[in-house]
Amino acid sequence: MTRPVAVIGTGQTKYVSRRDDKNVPEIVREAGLRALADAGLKPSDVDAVVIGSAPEIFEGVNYPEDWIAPALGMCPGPVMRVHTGGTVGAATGIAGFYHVASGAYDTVLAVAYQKLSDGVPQYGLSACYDPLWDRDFACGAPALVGLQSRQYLDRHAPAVTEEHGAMVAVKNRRNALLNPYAQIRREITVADVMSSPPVAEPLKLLDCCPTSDGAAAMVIASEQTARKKCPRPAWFSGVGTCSESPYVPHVDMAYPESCVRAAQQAYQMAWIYEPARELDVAEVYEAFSFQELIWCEALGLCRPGEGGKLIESGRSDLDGALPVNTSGGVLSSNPIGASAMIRQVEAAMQVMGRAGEHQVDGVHRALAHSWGGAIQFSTVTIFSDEI
Amino acid sequence: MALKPPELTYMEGESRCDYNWTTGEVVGTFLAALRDHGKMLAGVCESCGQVAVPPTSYCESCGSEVSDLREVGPRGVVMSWARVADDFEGAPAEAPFRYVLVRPAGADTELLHVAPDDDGIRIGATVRPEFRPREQRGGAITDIRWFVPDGAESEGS
Amino acid sequence: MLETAKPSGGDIVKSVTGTLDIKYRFSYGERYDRFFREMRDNKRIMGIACPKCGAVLLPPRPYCGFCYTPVDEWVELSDEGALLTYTVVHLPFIGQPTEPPYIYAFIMLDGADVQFPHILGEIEAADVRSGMRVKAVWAEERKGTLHDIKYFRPV
Repeated sequence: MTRPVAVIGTGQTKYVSRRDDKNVPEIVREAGLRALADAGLKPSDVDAVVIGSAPEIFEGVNYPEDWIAPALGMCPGPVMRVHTGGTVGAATGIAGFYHVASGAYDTVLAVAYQKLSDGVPQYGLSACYDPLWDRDFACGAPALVGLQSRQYLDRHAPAVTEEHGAMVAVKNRRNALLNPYAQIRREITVADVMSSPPVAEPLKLLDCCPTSDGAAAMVIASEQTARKKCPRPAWFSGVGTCSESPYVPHVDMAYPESCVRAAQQAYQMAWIYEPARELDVAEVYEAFSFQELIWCEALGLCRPGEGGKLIESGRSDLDGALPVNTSGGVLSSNPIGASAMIRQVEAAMQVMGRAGEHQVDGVHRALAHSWGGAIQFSTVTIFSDEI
Repeated sequence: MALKPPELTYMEGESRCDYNWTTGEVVGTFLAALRDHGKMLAGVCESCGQVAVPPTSYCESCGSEVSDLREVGPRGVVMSWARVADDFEGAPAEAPFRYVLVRPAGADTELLHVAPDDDGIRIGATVRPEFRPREQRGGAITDIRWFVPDGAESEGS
Repeated sequence: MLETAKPSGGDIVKSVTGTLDIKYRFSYGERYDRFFREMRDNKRIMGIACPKCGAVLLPPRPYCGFCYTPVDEWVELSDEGALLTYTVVHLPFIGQPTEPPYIYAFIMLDGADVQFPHILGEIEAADVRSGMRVKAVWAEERKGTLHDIKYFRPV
């Protein structure tokens, strides 16, 4: 059906709240050139570019791909832009995978970015809602995820508590201390999280991700190029995407079907039967702390309702049996359009053995997850050290 | 069943958002030169030699890094133009006016700007920028009010 | 090289500010039109029932999002229902019609299968519980928007 495809290089910019020395194409170029250097390639080795970013309303510009492609040295050349809400970064990586898996191209540069400081992030996020229906009440992302987190907490109380969310925030910020690219690198305590100001209860300030400027990139290549250029490529062994509607009957935000289905698709492709046992590391898109527990349940990394037990057990810690969000997660860096690709970048780096101080020993299989829209898009990507 | 014409045809809404676009060092230098010196700077690609205005920090032609800036113009040649007959929201000048693509002397690319609705604005014509007075400049491409046919009297100067 | 090209008169222009201001006319379409006329004129909340899967849908639409069957059967829903989930919004945002803090809620109206988004009133945040019964408090002046309901109050 498809031919083997691998990530052979990754690049990131340092995520910061305001990057004022470079404009949008320049930060994308920085990440893109780093990924090419990591792969030992030059811009002229790239056959096609795939670009991902979230709504233009974030930066107040239209068709940004028009000026980003030349910044990557792809002018004239094949360029495609992808956009699927918060999952766009991962969808961009998956589109890059399809570009190569199809046989159409040999070497593809996939880039994703956001420069949130150029605009007003929560305004852009609020515009995601139907103007005739829920836009007036839904305040950006926190209100929606506040509803999701409350639904999750109330369903599983007392097995899951607000403190469990705080423990996720503490763990991921601790992991971020080891990641030089992370924006928030600060040791915090459960008490700090619990006493931080409310944003959209039960979400408190330290349960929430920051807004960031930044870009991420991956070089995606065929088996022939991967074997020549990379001692330990991260092979795409499973991909899954699923979209649903926020208005389906009895939508379940605490166990989202799109996530469950995307995972099933990816696990089937990767021949994974027991994800909690077979995966070595997982990067999930926890824009808000409780989401890490929700995604771990929906991805089958623990049983439904056992998210609290998972974080309490230390199993998802950096030195646990299945470390989750070794990069520090979205809670530590969030250039929205790039955030889902950063999950793939971290998972690929873990397989390639290039994650530096936050490298987990002996990673054979890594999962990258993302969500987007009003919790209607989901993606799951599995990287493996063998075809 | 007879269809009734709908009553609530639409809801009025407004999307209003303030932006603070980062320019980057090269574009920021270009804008500052407009503001402070009334000069147009172009980026020179050391790899392929292209001279681009406005400049970018990378060569749009070959993808190389660009760090060398050089003054171009002020005179330039009209490469194309389009006449705007009616006013529209957000228009860069009062109608009638002309959009022009100007290639400043010494540059290999064109700058998009506006010009008066003057028959002297035609392909191949030489034009020059008319800068706003120093105190009105803010470091934007609009610090050049417009391009006028070379030899024409500047309005108000 | 940039150093030498830098204008002597001042710093480089680090950013350019601007405002995008766009006016929209969001089309109601036939289904929202009927739905909001019923709210405005009759204080009635209407759903649409799918003849195939039986789900009673909100917001009203011409097809079932579940089984993609065309739907045309309007069903009157109760203006009372159960609280599915809620959040206390403290974050202000541009264009927000309700001043924070306010309680944003998903309500499953009796007779519906899809949540209804609204806010709660006449209750303190600390007293709100998922599953509690709430009822619409209608606005005196109604214009054909979701604000024709002021808020939902505990029953």
